[in-house]
Amino acid sequence: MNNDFEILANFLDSFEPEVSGRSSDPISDAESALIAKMAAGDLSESERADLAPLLASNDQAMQSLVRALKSEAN
Amino acid sequence: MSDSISTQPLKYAEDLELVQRALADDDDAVLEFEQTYRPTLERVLMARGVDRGAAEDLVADIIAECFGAGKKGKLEIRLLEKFEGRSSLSTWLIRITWNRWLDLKRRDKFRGELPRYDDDERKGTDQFDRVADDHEDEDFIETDLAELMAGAIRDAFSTLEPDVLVMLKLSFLHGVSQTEIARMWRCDQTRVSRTLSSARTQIASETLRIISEAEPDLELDWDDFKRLCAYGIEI
Repeated sequence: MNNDFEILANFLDSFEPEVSGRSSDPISDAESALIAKMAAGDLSESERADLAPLLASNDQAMQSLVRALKSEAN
Repeated sequence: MSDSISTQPLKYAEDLELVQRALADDDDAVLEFEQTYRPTLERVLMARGVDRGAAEDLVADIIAECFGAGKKGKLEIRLLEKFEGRSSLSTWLIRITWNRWLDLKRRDKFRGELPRYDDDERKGTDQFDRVADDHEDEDFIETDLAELMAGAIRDAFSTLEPDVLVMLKLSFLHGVSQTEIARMWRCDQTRVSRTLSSARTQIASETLRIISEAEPDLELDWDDFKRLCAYGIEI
């Protein structure tokens, strides 16, 4: 049980997905562009702070960031 | 994972089939159910410090209710009839077992605060049952432990700054390295490491604080809590 966070997050998901309060609303082009900029390490602290609530609450946004990071790595 | 509700009934079809066979008085299914889940549920309780006798009694009551035998006679609905296969049978039973255990702890505490009447013993009246009967429609004692835990986790998460939550998700759910996170955050990796560590500590202490405030007698430590969450996912 090393990954406390994963256990808690999975519990929330398995218990009742909506409890975690996550949205999977589609993200806009502007948001996608900001996410790509963040993956490239090009966002300022304040821009990142503005984007963080979306990333924290929207699965699509988080998945988009993870995909952008993968393509950055390649 | 957001589509789990619609796919889970198929995922746990085997459990549902076992339950349906057991409810149809298939002796093999009843035996398999008992042999599989009775020891599991007893172990779950004993792992939490419940003594063997109490664990066996509590689990025996639950197993009996599964097939319609309540403490006060035959139940209108057998407990197993409520299983819909939306979670695994073990998860479902463990959740029931933990709720019963929590209820017992509440009863023990509450009983000490109730008035006792001279003829209680002669009539075989349980002080708690007298009050519980009066509150039958109020869900007086059936607060779900899993709901309490989920609420505590959610509230603990909400105490974190959104960018810290993002960092946690990236690191622990998506396997993004601390070096990568530091590059995006334009900071030193040590800062990422410290932030993650402090966030995990905050989640733990905040979650336990909320639980303890809601249920002072529960006395869960962090390992217990994580174990309960893990049981809640799958055993």
